[in-house]
Amino acid sequence: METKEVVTLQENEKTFIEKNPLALGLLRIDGPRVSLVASSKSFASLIQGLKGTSEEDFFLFSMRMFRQKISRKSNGTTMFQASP
Amino acid sequence: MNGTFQSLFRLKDASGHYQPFSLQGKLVNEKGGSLLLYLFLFPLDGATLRSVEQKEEGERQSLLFNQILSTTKTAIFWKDAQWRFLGANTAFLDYYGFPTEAAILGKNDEDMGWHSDPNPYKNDELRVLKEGISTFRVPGKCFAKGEERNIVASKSPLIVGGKIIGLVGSFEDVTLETRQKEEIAKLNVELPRRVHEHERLMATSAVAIATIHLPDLSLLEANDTVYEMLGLSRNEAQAQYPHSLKEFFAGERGQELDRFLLEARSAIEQKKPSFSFTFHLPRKKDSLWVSGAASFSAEDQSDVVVVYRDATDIMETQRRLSLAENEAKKVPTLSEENARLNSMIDGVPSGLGTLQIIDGVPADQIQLNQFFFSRVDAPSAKDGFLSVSAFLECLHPEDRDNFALAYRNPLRDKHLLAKQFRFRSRTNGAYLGPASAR
Repeated sequence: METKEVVTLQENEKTFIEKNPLALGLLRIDGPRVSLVASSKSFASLIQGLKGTSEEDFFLFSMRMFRQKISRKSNGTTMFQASP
Repeated sequence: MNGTFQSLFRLKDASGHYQPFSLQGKLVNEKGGSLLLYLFLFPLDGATLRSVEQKEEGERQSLLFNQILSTTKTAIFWKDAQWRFLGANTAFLDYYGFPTEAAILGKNDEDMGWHSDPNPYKNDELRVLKEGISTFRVPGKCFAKGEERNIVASKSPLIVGGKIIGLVGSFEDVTLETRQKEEIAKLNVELPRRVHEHERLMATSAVAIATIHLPDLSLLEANDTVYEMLGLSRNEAQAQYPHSLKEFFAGERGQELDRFLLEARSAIEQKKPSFSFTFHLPRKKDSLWVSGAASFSAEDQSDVVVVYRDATDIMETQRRLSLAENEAKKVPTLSEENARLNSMIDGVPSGLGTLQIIDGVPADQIQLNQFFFSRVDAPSAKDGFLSVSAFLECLHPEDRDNFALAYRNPLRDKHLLAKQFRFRSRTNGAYLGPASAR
């Protein structure tokens, strides 16, 4: 997949996620660093309910699950491949 | 980022049981260079899980099937019940040179014009569609990329819910194999004929035919004439010189073989397919001159086929011709010598004549000098030559028998030193003499 779409995270998006009854989460991937930006209660509940799984572990786990390969091309576009 | 994904996995919960979850995600580029990953995580119940798993399995199977179809080298196609194309794989499209399926979809073989006679193929496919039979590797022909090719095709009915809804077929190009088989069949017919011709040629030919392997100078094959020219039977020759030219041409004979090899090497260097040769063939008691031609074998360039015949008569004729030519070159010299002698003879102040005797046989002409013709009543003679009969007319009638006798026995009478004869005078017709003849 290839995209040139670039977004700016709006505060109301985080609010939308945090207030959502569904298990929604938003992660920021900045190079090797992965951090949780926002999550709904259900999402947090599910995460916390998983024995021995910290948030960061889960993010890393999910990344491994999808075996993502993210590479940045010279024209600024981002290639994303998911092969579950 | 519009990369989206979805997957199922199981996570162990606090009670130690694995719970199925579906995770859907979307990845977008964030201003500043980082990525935002939106996640939607929800637990699945058993029915939903099975449904999703079946769907995923179906997708995997479909993906696998498509990959197999697109990577196999076998051309595969499928048609509807009306004999029209519904699809084909990459190998099929590549074979005919079509970039996409669009060129064939909804068309039948007649529309495509692939066959010079489409009826056998149509009938074949109609039987598959109507009778539900399968065909396997049926040979046929089709036009592809401007050339008629040989193929073998297999077809089976496509049955859904007990009803034939179409057919699926495959074919392989066997043009190369077919042509090779045809060539082999042709050669199988040709081979016995050529073998028979070869054997007949070898058996009946009046010329010697042999095959020589140059690296070791072995005789691979030879007809009877080869041995006849050697003055040996085949068995005798093989016992004395077992297939070896080196042994036959051992010793002084070797120079004849060297001459032949020199010609062969020269032909090889000049990349000539053949060369001619002449050499002296030694035999038990005498020798022959043989002359012929040698050709390098088409199968193995180190083998040479030689064809030659006895050229002794030709060589002897050439030798004689050469001698004759040498003698001919001497003719002007002899003429000059003769003129000088004539001049000398003519200058002698007495009658002088010469009689040429070849191999003991006297010539029928006598050459006489000017003094003789000035004194004797003789008919005119060219270059001083007078026939013996004319010469006799010049003699006194009583002396003619004696002269004839002396003429016939010039060498037999070893004691003959001189004879005296009377000649008729040119001035008054009286007989001069006696004059002596030696």
